[in-house]
Amino acid sequence: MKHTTMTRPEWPDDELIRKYLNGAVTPDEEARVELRLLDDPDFLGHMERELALRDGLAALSEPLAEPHRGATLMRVMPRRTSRRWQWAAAATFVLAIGLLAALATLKRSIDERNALAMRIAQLDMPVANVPIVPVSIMRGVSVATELPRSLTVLRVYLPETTTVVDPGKYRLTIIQDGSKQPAFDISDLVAMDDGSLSMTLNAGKLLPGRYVLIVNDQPPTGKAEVMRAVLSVL
Amino acid sequence: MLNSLISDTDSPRRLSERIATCDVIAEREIWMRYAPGLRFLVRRQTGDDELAQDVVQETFQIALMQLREGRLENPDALSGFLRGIALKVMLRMRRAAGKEKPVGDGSLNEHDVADERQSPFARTLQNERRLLVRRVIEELPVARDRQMLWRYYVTEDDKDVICKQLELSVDHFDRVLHRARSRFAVLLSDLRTASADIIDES
Repeated sequence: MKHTTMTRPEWPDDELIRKYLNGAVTPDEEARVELRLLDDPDFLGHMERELALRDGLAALSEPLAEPHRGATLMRVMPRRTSRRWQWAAAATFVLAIGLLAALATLKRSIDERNALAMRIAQLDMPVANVPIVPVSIMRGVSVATELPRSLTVLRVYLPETTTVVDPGKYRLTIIQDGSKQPAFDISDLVAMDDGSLSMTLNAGKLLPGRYVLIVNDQPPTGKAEVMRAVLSVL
Repeated sequence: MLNSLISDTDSPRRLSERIATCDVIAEREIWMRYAPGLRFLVRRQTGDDELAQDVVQETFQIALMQLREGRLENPDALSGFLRGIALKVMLRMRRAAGKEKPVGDGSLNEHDVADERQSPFARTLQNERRLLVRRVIEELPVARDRQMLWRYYVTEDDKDVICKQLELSVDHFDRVLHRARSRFAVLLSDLRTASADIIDES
């Protein structure tokens, strides 16, 4: 098991960094950023990761060399960089032509953006609009693990005997003692490098009592039960 | 072996003075310290890995020659000196190669141009990074957080606008951004370690 913790780097010039990567800085700002790039290796590392993140996100629509867990590829809006200003100029021109035409254009733009935002939300992961703050870390033990009612994210560590590098997915079910219906059932979970499964779980919505947590390996790798643990909600 | 002799503690002024005495270790040190940043800034402006390598090589040839001759008036401004040379070299090389595009030329997609100019190795690296980014996105369990990242990095919306439209607090925004960045950093680090292991084994 590997646990990695990172201290939070502070980048007070976050907006400046973004402007730089978008090619929207003034010559003075550009010089300031580039001199820091040369003088500060940590800053350079941060910039490289930011650029890679941005380009990687923008390229999610493009075909990749290797398939990856059957995730859906989507066509997305082309990346805008310095041409953003040209669009702004174009929008101003349209405004001059007529208010009605401009409103129609604006509405279409908003619709497209909303549609885009919806499409990125449709990646094949479970959705739950719960803020992620407290995290419960639980190992596969026989004693009941107490879940605080304030818990919103559950992290379950698979037993070390499980092949966590397996690209397969997992299904996690939580059933209250004496009940046949699962109180919580989620599939398509993918193990992280440290062998954990993470999911949103609003423990405040579970009735007090004892629960059994079961993790199964999903097809195509099989349906074997990977772990079972006891939970307690007070 | 050479790396063990390199000191990170020398100031730019001290480094310049050592190069003026033809200290080869100092020449290696200035390369190790400044070449990655110079490559980054040239690559950002050109999208061309090979050109960036060439520009950096030539920049150091010119810089070392001038430093040996003691022509840097303010040795504390070593990074500005190197950047200035790099920008001039880049401009000249781009002109020579006929790659200087007029501003606002929208005839080619920026990604297409960058991809065409990349070496096979750079393309492989970029592909791996894209896989890591996808993994970071997939690991975000909340759809709204994925939307947030997308709009921040790709559609370039302002943070305030994103927070307002997605009904997020600024704290939540910062937290998700920090988590995504941290996770990506870890994955990148793991990838580099794995690559180094493969190189060591081969």
